[in-house]
Amino acid sequence: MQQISRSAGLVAGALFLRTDAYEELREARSPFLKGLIIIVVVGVIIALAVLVGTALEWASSPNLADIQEVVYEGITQMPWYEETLQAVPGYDKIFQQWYDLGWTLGRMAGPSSPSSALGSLVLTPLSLVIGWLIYGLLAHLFAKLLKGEATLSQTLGCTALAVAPQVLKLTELLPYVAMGGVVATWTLICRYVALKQAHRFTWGRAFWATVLPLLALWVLGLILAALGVLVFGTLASVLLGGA
Amino acid sequence: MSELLNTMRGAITLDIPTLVRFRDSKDVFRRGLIILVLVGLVLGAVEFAVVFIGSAFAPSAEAQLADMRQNFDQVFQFMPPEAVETFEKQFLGYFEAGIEIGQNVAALPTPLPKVVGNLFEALGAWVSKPLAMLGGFLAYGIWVMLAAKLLGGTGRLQEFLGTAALSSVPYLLLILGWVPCLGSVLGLVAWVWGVLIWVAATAVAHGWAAPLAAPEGEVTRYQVNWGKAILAVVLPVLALMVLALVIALIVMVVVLIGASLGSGG
Repeated sequence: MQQISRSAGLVAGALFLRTDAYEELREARSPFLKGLIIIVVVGVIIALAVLVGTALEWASSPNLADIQEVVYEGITQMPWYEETLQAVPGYDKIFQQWYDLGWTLGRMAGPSSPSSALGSLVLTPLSLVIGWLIYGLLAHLFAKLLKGEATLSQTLGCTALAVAPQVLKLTELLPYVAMGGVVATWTLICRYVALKQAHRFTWGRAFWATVLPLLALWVLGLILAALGVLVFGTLASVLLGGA
Repeated sequence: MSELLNTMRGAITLDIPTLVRFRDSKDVFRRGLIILVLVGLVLGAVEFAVVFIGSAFAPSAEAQLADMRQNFDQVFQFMPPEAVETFEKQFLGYFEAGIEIGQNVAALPTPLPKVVGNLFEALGAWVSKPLAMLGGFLAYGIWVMLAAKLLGGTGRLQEFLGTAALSSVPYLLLILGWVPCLGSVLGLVAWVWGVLIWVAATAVAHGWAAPLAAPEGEVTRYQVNWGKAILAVVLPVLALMVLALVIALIVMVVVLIGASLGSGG
């Protein structure tokens, strides 16, 4: 129990950018393990809150299939639909296909029912851990290039505390709450404080150690996207050429 | 409580000693954010009332259509008759159909009573208000912090953001934001006032407010370097505008090159 309240205190301290919270984790016996536990616990608690919020939203919203039907009826009664149908024979089937595809993609984009949100109990902590490890490793690499003083375990431990702003998602216990970009921005600020404290950086080095991993990830994302387009384009041209 | 009110009063009167005391207080970041969240919750409460009461007295589809028609008629006075005819033919029918679809969706049954859903929606709008304010504040704050540091500022992030959070206080004026005509004026006043507090907080947090020697002990007067503080607050906006301009120019050049190649080919 004491351990739980201590960890909660660390998360609260990290949220309010108290350097002693980051320092405590830096000097802990196993910063990595402690950080991992904090991230998993925060992830599970948030996922539970989001699950409750999703259940309440589901219970206070009409059935999606009914909405789909009502919107379809409304659209197909519009003048343009009738005009297009006369101009393009078989347009009703094409429209129905695209309309259904749109709804299917829409359903996939977010959990629409409590049962589908159940998966987030595992996925939320897992994605937080993966994001933390990728960012933490890259940040450690850049921090070392910038002559940082912390060990890998200390870097990961301190950056784990940057999960603290995720607790804002507890507000999603209520349905219809819009989070905006507050969690991402606050996380960035926490990461700056974490790296500054862990590596005993000046503000300038801490800034670059915080930003460079993100830039590296963006560049990597762009390269992967370009490669994807290239591969997809080549495949499409080969297939179309073959046809 | 009285300390909180004194701090808020000091902030809106741009009282430098109050801002210095607040900067030097324990846990200034947490205290600043608490003030910002409280302001957000007060403003959100108004939004809550508007959304919840509004949902209880939601107008019918016919009333909404009549209202929309009236608004359009006011705009049509300034349009040539042929344009009005085209607009009515092309768009008005779709607006009407859109409203009808919305009404039909709203009429669909839900597992919980409608009033509970409306309550959740209003509560969601309430809680979202401080979150939106917090997100905007932090996003702008890190850029101002960066600009201030580049200009030689010596402040710590925690002290700067905590003190700058007081810039949210003038937004309490927006409690009256729903009053027609007055709302937009109050919005402008709150924004300008907020910017002034941003500048003062930046000066105080980054060591650009030097205390003047006072024989009695307590420092009540400060020599403030307003120029650097104003620049730090304005630079992110200027940088964003320049960036937008550069991107627009690049897009324009690419389009022109594409057009000339197209016409040449």
